Amino acid sequence: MNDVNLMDEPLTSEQRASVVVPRTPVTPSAFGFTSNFFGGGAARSQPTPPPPSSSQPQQVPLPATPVQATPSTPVAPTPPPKTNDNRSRSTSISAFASSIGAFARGFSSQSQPPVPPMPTRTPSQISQRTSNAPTPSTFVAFGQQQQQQQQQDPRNSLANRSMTSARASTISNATNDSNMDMLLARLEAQNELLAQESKRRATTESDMDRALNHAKEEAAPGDDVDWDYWGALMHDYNGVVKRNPKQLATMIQRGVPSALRGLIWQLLAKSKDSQLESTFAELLKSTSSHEKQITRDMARTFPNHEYFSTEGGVGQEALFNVAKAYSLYDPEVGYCQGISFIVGPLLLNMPEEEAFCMLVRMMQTYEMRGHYTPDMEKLQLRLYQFEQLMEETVPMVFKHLRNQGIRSTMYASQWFMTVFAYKFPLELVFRVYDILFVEGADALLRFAIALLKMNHDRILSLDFEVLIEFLKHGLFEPYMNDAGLFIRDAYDVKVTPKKLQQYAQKYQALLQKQQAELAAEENLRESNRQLSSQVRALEGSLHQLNKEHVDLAKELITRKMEMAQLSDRNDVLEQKVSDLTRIVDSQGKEVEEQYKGEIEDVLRKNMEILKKNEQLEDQLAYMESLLVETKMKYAESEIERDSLSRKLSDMRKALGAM
Amino acid sequence: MSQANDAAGPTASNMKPVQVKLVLLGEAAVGKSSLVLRFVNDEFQLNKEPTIGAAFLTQKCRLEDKVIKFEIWDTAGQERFHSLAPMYYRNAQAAVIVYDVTKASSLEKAKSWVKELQRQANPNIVIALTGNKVDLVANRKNRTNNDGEVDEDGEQDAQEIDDDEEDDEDYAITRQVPTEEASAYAQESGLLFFETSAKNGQGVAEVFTEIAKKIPLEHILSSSRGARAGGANGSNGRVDLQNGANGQRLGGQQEKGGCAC
Repeated sequence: MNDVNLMDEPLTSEQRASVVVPRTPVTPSAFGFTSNFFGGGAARSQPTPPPPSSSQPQQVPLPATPVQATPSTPVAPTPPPKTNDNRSRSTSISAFASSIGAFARGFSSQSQPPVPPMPTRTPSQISQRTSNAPTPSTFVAFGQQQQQQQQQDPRNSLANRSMTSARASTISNATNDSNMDMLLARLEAQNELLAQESKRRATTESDMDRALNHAKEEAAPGDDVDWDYWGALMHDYNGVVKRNPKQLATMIQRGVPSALRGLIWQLLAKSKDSQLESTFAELLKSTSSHEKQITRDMARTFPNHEYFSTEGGVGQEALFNVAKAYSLYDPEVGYCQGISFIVGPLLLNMPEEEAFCMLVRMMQTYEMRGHYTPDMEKLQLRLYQFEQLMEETVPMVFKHLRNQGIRSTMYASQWFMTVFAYKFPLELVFRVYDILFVEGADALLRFAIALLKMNHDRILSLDFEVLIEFLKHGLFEPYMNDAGLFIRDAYDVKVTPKKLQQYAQKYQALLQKQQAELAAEENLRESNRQLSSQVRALEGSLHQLNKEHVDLAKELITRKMEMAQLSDRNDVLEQKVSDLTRIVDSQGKEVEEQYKGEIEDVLRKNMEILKKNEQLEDQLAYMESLLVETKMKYAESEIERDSLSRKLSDMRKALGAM
Repeated sequence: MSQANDAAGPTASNMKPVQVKLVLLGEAAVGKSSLVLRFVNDEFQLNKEPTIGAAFLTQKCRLEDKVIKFEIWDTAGQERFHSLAPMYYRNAQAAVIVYDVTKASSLEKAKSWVKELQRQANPNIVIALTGNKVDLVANRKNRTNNDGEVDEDGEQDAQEIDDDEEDDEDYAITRQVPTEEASAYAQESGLLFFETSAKNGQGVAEVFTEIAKKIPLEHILSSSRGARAGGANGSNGRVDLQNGANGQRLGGQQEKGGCAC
């Protein structure tokens, strides 16, 4: 949505300064407070570079130190006349908002594109916003120096008295002993941190006073707020808490004044850490691999809340910065959806660098980190503890949900991952935060059970579909206008660390069992896989063999067919042979008989021819003898002819000669 | 089971709806919840909160002579919540796997979901691959401004702006997954395929109708009867919608009219 008033005239740095300057008696102190209280903020707002992140907090030349030396001198004596003037306060607010914006841009300007126009707000807007929900502006807009009357504080003497019999002190509240155990455990665990922090916090005391005074003035006259207590607490947190821890619990349960909320939270969580704040500033210069995802979620976090709904507005930018810085600060967690929802309520009560420190503290000291790690192990445990508590405290509801097939992951994971901020109204969420910072994240279980208890009958009357919707969006309705009741009911739920510990052990055992089962399952699956592949291999060879078998069978059949055909042919041939033999046999005799007559004829003819031949030879002999006779006669005639011829020739000669 | 109050229509009055468990999967911020919101309530919410854990919604559809009741589990998209997903897809008969057509990596994530479902989920599960946010790329002229309204002056603007600013605008609305690529993948993997816009409603109802057509309804009807009988006291710690899906809530006030399909 496009808020015209937020986008109108860009402020140059001079303009910003000019907004600050007219408020000289007031604003510098507010500003000084801020820079002091914010630690790193001052360093960034001044030309001096922030302290190197490698040095220890104690060694850092904190910008706070000079102020520490003169905590009250410049600011104390001026009760500015304008404090009750609504308009002037608003101006101071917007001035401060500008300065916050300036800080934010200060860090980011090195790594980010040019600064967009700085929003200015109209007084009416501011007051409207502050009445809706506290913004970072509300608690820093303290223009007042408080004349704190520590010594006369009757609460202190009471606290002193109760310190002598700390355990025995009886302050009427809804807290039972089991809850006390948890509180005491938490306080003890934090005592070490206290020692380290006390020095630094001392520097901020005067600022606390200012904040307190301002909060007092902001409060409606009808409010029943024990300002003395909150004053004492903020002035001497350790002392007050040590003297009477139960009282702190009581007061927190009654509700932290909304104007002081950001400060009180930080005190409870001991989150002030200027070293960490400068780390934050450093981290903003780097680039996170989660930035795309974070950017996508910015517009989707509290989209209906004015402060966060403006695309690219102050709220979204702060949200982005804290989520991004944390993703770099804790790479294992990185960015997890849900983180932005726990940062939102912080940002509505403090500036971003403090919100970052708070976030780190929530993740580490408050053990919420395990809600967002890749395995979400703490969330799983918490859900288990929740179900166990449910079975114990509201067994009917437990049974009903189980019968309906509704598991806690389906509705309660968002409670724990967002500290109820995902769907619940922020007034309730802030109150849950109050308790969370006193008791630790296990307190979430109280609230979860209280919700089920309050809606006991309604839940039992609903079935799956309606029920699951109701569990997510309807449970808080009875508490809409009575956050106090929510807190009281939560404290009526008996949750002891011992019990939770038991559940945790049970859960561990269950987890181990599950893991063993899982491992066994995995083993089985593995052997199954192997067997399957064997089966497949065998099936393959079976198939192969079958095929071969079929081939062989086919061949056999073909061969047999061939054999049969051959034997048929054989038979036929044998038959033919025998036929032929028979034919040959019978034909031989016939031929013999046929030819016998012919041979005899031939023989006879031969004989005849032989006889003829003899006769012809006889004739020939006769003819030859005739021939010889003839030849003889011829020779005799020849001789005769010769003698005649000679006689002729002689005669001729004689004739010739004659 | 449900007889008297069944408002599904005169022809369907003697018929109980077939319950189809459907799960939505896909990368964070691709529009899974918006798709369901469009289908169930015909609404669109520009900056919808990221789903943390999972959300459950139902919607009824009429398909020919049957009434189908989709029981939809809308899961959280961030990788961190991956381990919770099997609880929701284990018994699902249908899955809608959503990606963002303007974000190539979201299709890769979708593919890995497909693989996981084909390995782990019900073997007969009907899977629809759905490329959402096509309104961002559908028509250059219909670029959207910050309020999510269609920029009516876009046509003139486009001519005036031309180069520089057009490029900026392009950065936001360039399609990174071509329809053909996703469609081809869907075909080779045996998935239904759609492109949708939860914002303007384009193609949304079709996703569910086509799923309804492809699901073996008779089979579900007979098997769910068996499961219900056997699962009455079965709380083995798993999400089994059949347990929760008893007949009573079919006939109840949830019968507020089915969808148009």
